[in-house]
Amino acid sequence: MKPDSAMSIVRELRRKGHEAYLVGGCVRDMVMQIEPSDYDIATSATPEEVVKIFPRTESIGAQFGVILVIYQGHAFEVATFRSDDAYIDGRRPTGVTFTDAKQDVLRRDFTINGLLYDPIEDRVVDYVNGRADIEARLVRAIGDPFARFQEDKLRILRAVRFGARLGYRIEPATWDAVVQMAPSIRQVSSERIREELVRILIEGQAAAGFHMLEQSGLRREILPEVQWNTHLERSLEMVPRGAQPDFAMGVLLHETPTDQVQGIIERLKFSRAEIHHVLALVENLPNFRKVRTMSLSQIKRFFRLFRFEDHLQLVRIHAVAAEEDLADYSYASRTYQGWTQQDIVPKPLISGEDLITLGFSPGPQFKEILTRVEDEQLEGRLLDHQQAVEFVIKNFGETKS
Amino acid sequence: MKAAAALLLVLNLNTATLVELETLPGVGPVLARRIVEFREKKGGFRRVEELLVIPGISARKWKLIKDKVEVKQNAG
Repeated sequence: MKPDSAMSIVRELRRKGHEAYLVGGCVRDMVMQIEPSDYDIATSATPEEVVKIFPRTESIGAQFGVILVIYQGHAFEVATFRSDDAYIDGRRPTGVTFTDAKQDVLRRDFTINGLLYDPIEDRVVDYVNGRADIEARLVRAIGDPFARFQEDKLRILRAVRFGARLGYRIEPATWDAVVQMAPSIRQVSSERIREELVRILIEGQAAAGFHMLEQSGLRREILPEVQWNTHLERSLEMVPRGAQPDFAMGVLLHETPTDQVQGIIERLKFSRAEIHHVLALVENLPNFRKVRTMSLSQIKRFFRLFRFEDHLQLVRIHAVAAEEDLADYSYASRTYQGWTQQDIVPKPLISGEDLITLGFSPGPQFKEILTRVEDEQLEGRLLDHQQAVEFVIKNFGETKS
Repeated sequence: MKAAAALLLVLNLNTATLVELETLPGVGPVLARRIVEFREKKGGFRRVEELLVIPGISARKWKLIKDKVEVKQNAG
């Protein structure tokens, strides 16, 4: 997103006599010459004042004084400068005090995320030496890393995520704190851990991220069942940026015993649909070994798996990582590409109603007959309704009542 | 079955399909399409309140929708 609308918001706040800056990840991105996806604004204006200045606002995290401003077709978080009081439960401050710009950045997590930008003067305001760390490609906690991680334990995991995503090293003192405090990540809720873990997996540097999780001891804490080895590292290298979370989890867990996979993804509170997909990915991987000997009906039914492309990608990733040949993948992929959805799930040639017309009584046999007809259809041996009727009469006719 | 599931489930705005989005109150094919376009253009929702950016989602409609959506694996 271009910074124009964000700049207008800053200008508007200034016009009303308040201080205002762009802050956080967007400034980091701009310094790195990456186009930010979002802009956050920090201001001396109180939430009440922000709401008065802009016609469309929505209060988010009211206790922190954050207002979402809807402006020129975009949403901007506008937060009042604050410093956090003591933290409870390793996550939430007991209260906040509105303060000045400097105190506001000093409460933040990493120096690279602690920059302010004044878009009117085109000037970066740097109270935390963040520019030097961007220059040196370092993730460094603002102030005392132990204190920062004590306030919010998720920051331990976030240090790794930023390091991986940006290709930065974690500065030694910060790294020491990550390693020493790794066990306390277990005090963080599963949902928050899942969010960070998924982001490490899908931000394009999953292998680097997991390498750091392993080195720091974090992997042992959050995923003790997962075996870290070269195969997994190579596999994760092939998880593309922007991958679907459940697919990425499938890659991560494809060598973990299935009974443990279920435990992991349930513990991390993935949704039912995601759990289903991850399990399907892991459980069906061995079936690709049989794909070249499957009959037409078997392989077409196999291709009906939800998001079959993900299954194809996983078998490819697995084979490449294991330096196995790609014959199963190639065969499955070529066959799959060669068929339309119609070929894989054709319209039924015959229905239950047709069976009733033919004199069959509804019952368990219906399903058997319809499945047999579908098999023959998928094999290409039955082509139309007439042939299907003849097939039913010939094979099941004697059970007619 | 589908309607019952829609009542209980909270939709993840970053993964919901067009059909799922249409189960939200006041959201039809046009708005569902806009939500998906917004998501694709932006690379994902960061928070549910961003729905307010989408033309056609008024403050009134927002109140009906907001308890039925969530954002997971957010962008940014």
